[in-house]
Amino acid sequence: MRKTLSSLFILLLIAIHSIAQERTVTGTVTAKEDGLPLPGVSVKIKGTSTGTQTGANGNFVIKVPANNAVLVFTYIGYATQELAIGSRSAVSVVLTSDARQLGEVVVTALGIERQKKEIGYAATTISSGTLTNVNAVNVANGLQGKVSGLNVTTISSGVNEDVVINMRGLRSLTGDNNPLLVLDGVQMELNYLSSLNPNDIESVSVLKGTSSAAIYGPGARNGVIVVTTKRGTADKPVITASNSTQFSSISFFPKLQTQFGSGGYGEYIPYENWSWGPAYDGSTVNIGRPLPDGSQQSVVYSPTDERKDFFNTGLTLQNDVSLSTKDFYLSIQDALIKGIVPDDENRRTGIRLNASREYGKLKAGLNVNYIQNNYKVFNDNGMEDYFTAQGTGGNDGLMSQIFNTPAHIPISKYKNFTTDKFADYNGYYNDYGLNPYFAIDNWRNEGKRQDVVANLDLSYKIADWISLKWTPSISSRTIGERDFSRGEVPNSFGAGRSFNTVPGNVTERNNNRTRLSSELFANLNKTLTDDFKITGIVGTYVRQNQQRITSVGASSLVVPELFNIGNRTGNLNGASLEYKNRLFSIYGSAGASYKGWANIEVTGRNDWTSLLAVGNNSYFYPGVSGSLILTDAIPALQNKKAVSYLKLRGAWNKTGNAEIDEYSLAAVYTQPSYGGFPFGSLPGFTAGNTTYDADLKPEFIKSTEAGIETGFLNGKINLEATYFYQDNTDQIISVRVSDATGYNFANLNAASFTNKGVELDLRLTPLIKFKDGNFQFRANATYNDSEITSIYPGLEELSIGGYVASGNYAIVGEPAFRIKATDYLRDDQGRIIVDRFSGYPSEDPNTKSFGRTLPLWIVGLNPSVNWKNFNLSALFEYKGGHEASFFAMGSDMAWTGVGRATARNNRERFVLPNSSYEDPANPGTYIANTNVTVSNVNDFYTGVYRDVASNFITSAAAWRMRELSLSYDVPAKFLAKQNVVKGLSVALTGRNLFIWVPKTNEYTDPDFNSVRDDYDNTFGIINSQSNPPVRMYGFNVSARF
Amino acid sequence: MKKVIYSFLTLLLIISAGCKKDFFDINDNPNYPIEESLTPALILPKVLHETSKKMATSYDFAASWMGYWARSGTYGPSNPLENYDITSSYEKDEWVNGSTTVYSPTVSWYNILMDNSVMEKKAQETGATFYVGMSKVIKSIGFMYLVDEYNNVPYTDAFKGTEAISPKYDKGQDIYNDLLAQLDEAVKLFADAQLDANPGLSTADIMFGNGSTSAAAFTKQKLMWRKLANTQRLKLLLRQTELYGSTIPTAELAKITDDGSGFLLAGETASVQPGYSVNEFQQNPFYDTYKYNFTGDNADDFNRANNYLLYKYADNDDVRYQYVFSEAETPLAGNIYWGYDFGFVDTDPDQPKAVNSSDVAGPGLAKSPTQRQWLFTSVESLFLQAEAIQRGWIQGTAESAYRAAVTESFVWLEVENATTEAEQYLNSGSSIVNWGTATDKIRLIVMQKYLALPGINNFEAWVDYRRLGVPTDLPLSLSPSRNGRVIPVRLQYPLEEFSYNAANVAAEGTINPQTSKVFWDK
Repeated sequence: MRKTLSSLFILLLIAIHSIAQERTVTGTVTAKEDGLPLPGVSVKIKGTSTGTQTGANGNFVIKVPANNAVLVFTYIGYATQELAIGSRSAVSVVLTSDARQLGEVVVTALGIERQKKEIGYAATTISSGTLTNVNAVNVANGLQGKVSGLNVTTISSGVNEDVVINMRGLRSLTGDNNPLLVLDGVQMELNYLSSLNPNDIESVSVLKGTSSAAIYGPGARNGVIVVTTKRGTADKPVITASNSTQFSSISFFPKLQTQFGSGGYGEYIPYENWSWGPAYDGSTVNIGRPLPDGSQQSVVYSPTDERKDFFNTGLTLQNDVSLSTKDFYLSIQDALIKGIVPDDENRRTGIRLNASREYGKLKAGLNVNYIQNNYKVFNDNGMEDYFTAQGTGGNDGLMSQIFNTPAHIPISKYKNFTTDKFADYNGYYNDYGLNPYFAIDNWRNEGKRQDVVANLDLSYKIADWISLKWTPSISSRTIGERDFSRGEVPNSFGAGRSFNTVPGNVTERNNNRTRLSSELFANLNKTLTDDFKITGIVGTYVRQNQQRITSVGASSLVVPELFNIGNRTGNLNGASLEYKNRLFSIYGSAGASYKGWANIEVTGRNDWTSLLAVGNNSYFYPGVSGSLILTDAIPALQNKKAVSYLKLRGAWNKTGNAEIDEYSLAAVYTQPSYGGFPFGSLPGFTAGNTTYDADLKPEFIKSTEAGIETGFLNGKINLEATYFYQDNTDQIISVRVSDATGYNFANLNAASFTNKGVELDLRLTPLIKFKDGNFQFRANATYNDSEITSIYPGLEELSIGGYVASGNYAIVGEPAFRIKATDYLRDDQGRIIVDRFSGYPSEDPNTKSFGRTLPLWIVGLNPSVNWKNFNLSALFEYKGGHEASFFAMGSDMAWTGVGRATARNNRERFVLPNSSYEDPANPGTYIANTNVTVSNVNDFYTGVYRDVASNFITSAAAWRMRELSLSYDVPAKFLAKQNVVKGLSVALTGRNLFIWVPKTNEYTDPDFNSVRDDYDNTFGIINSQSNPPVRMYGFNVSARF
Repeated sequence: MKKVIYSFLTLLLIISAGCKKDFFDINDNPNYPIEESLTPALILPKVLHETSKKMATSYDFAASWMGYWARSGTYGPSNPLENYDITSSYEKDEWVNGSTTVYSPTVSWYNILMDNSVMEKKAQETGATFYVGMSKVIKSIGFMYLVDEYNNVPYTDAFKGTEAISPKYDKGQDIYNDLLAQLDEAVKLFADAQLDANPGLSTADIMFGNGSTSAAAFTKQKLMWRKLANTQRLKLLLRQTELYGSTIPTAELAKITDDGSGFLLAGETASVQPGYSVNEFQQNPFYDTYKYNFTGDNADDFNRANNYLLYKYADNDDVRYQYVFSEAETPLAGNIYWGYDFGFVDTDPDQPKAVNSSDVAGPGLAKSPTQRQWLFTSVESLFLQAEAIQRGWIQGTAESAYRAAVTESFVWLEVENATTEAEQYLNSGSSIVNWGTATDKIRLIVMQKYLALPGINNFEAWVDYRRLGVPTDLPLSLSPSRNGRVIPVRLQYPLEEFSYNAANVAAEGTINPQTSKVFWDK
């Protein structure tokens, strides 16, 4: 097989490789500080783009022209070095670490590489190695904990981990807060990150502020993630093949009581899903009802771990092959993810081709990426709809079916629900819930998502100081998916248990979105005198987004498990929707640099959008930024070892945007399918839920940031700090209003808020040196706070989403966001008021304000040890200062009596702590309650306790071990005896291995959010649709040929 | 070099050409109509269907509190339904729309009335006065329910969108007064309406239109709407009997008499038929909610016969229990009709379940999945008239009006030999029905109204109980967590108002659903 493969590559090579008069030079690159080889150093022939990289042992091989070639060695954190080869055929190069970071290059707006020292705003570059350290399938997960200012939140586990990225907090209360993704110079929607193959990525630059908005337009107000994919540099083709195998298992399971089994009010009921029965005593009990054949199951009445055993060990398999040579990169990846929920699976397969060629002054390139995601998962919403139609509450979510199973039920034995009479629909022990194995088989969501991204990259160097670049691109996402329910008809035994038909149904959805864009700009870069340099950009951007969504469904299928909408009774339901918007922009920037240590840049941009009414749809926004390198500017500071680098920077800019949905200027009328209309030829329309302002104006953000970058002890210690302040005004928000207005939401310009914070990055490289190795330490921290300054005349608060009894709110004078939730009625001392006779508290009709939902502090710690060819690296992340609401999940657990709280005082009556009752002699005054116990514990927990959401709000603080890896590069000498494998590395990896949360969090990962599909900007609202969080561990083998 | 510059210029040209105004003029909604393109006829059917659906299917709680229905043995205790500890989320869908992301969200009164107000506005713009009249009738029904449940609610500030983003509350009494004024206007609009000015009326009016555009059909349609409006006027006035005391609201009653169309009479039930069919979301709402859903499954395993009502019928030789309740699907020990005591917590694992007991959609109510959906029954109308005659408010003989009303109940339920059965019952001498021996004729009428409306109009029983304390022997919930609470006298304002209209709801002061009565409840 290898033979065919390599011959294929040879064929490819013939096509692209021109042979000239050349000779081979070999060499080794080492670091001056510790003498260790440096892998990944870029080696280029000066004046060309021909080059290679050093391997694991610092070695490189390069073909150079016969005449006097000069090699340029560049590596992040080290001074760039040039070396004239002369006639040598072997060289050794020693690189000096660059205290001043002079060599550090950041990919900035429009893919222009700039020296970090020139930039007036915060930017961080992450190399591919750092990103893929532990083989996260989703690039976003690879960013977790690594960059200050970046809050990467995994909001669900499962085969598609949903990730939310916020940079420097929020810019919009109810709108879009996603940073912009720029992939190889093309603006993309952020969610495309999850489709990218992380191994294709050369580097990721994170532009944190809004400064790049002038160049990138409205999308960049939330920061920019600039992703550059690999393109070959080496003359010789390099084939890399790697495999990563990871297993996943539950890292945190809700804390459940294990004292009481099924029943109600202390009585044992064999078919109950309430765990309000008698205490476990180890006796033998029947479960379920006797089947028609007289058989009945019996088990030992003791708690088990069965609820955890329901879940599988997940598996993530990634196989990669890539070929790279000069200006050519080809890769294929197949990632297979099997989740912890049985039958959940996602498979991502993608290919990429990056190729370019130079023709004198013209360079033409093409990047093409095609990715397919095939997924088959349990459809939780389908089950929820079923329960809603049945009128049974408290059954939402698969986890609810599992958690709420009494602890003595051998749940994992019910896998074979088609053949096992105790597991099938009619014979399952429970009268009120479903066998979860039946549920995950019955409600499915299966689909295919295909992404095609292609862009041309044409550049022309008009003169040394001016070049033109044109990047037209097309990206298209097609989702074809099907939700279905297989359906089940109860037999007479099931019907006798009041089991109803589970309808068989199917909904087909097709979603097709396409973005066309064209970016054209001229880039000027002129050195006027030795001291004075000017730069400039003039460009234009035009973009069209188009989306078509078609869905069609049949709610009653005739022949079971035949999911054709033609196989139905009754009406079809569905819709076909189309959306289109356009944006056109002109932008420019002008910069000047004096001796490299004083830099200033001004920017400006004007947008025209189709989303606002003519007259409101054109808006301009300017910006300015600058930097000053004191260690260069002030002679007294030059060449000092203690303070080797000192840079000050600052930026101010304004950003405008109207990133709203299409057609958001007029209220609509619809015929929702649940309304029944049309009845035959009779239509019936109803007003939509939102009223709109036809004169909507763009919203503006004013941002200021100031930063300092320092290097101490010749660059061993680097500290970077940034303060930012953003003033967001005239927000386009969707205000939840009283239903008496006739609407649920009003979409208008309102609300203002400020957002500020500090970012810190610390690098100790190396912290300690020892023989053949070193210890390095990196840390970052972000502090972020915000304050709502106004909402709307007459409105002091704004619902962001979640449950009405426990949701996210923006409240004037408070940070974005607060949890507002129901609480007990309390007296003036904060004691819970209980009834003098029954001991029951009651719910306060006014909701109260609880903790913030966004973390105040985020800290990332990254120690690593290198020794010989070993590398051990860990990444810890902390988020804190915020709270999460587990209301829906905890409320379910209280109802069924599985929650740990429900076992309080062994379910004997108790006095509610910190409570009081009204003094009958003096109404309005309260007496501390020391003796009135709640009359019935069962009623208390299934009643008022579960309605009071404050019972389920806890600190969302967490420490996590995000990453742990131990890698080993096989030394070159072991590979020397053959010339097939040129490099080999193996690694043991772990991701999200541990999570440490406060004791009060008995539920799940506080970063999760179960309602984000419905409410974009909510945080920390968790229900039983969220699977438990998982840890991943495995190994990785990578070989170069 | 030149080539490149030329191509650059060409590109700029193409781009700037694209930037003409029409390049951005693509923001008209291609998916849904906006207000401009709507007509009243496109809204009316939805309003009528939702109004009748809401009235018929939204008052399970009243049925339970009033001894009509009780929770089946298939369900665990249901609070606050059974312990009367009313929270701000309980029954909030009377006011607040259900989440549209769920399978079949409930539609609130404010939602229905919003559509109704848009219809009125559109009709007024085009001079479609008949539609204006209809919207006023619906408005008087919807706001009556809101006032009866919450007393003071937003009325004058309602449906103004962003113009009144925090709508203030109006007094229940003021709202009632205005509703009566609206109905005065409505009957005049009906009387003067021209067919030509009201396009689409014969098909869009799924209540009294019959598809025919003939003059005769239109005359009938006008008459029936006036009768409905008059009956609704009488209903609003009778709600306030305890306020009027012995005073007769002569002026208001004179307006009804002046109209001359009278009230809904025997056989004149106001009901809607949009074309109900055995399809998801398209069945008759009552049938779909309480009998069978479109797949043929039991739609409701929760609500079952309440022993109080079951025995009120059975103990008095009243066969109507066989028409408002069903036989148990799988009777236990020969108990064909089986009910429950409201609020009782039964820990016996072998207690009868939903399938062993009587559902609340008996053959007299749920006749077919495609039947018309009643909105204002002749039965209720006749009882209202009987009470008004007895009070001396309108002309007539009280006893015969009473007997006609009871008989209409038997007829409406399609009791076998209805008139004979009714006759026998009326003459049985039982104090629950006997006119002659009754000392308080009004209570007798209202008690019989109570017995005539289970499942048909559960809400009225709660209104009359609060108004007059009938039935007098109604048992309270047996819930162990009731704690001395009694049947609530109102609902708590919904949590959404506390959250999204906080200042205005706060201005209403502390509301206690145990004691804060609505204005007509004296």
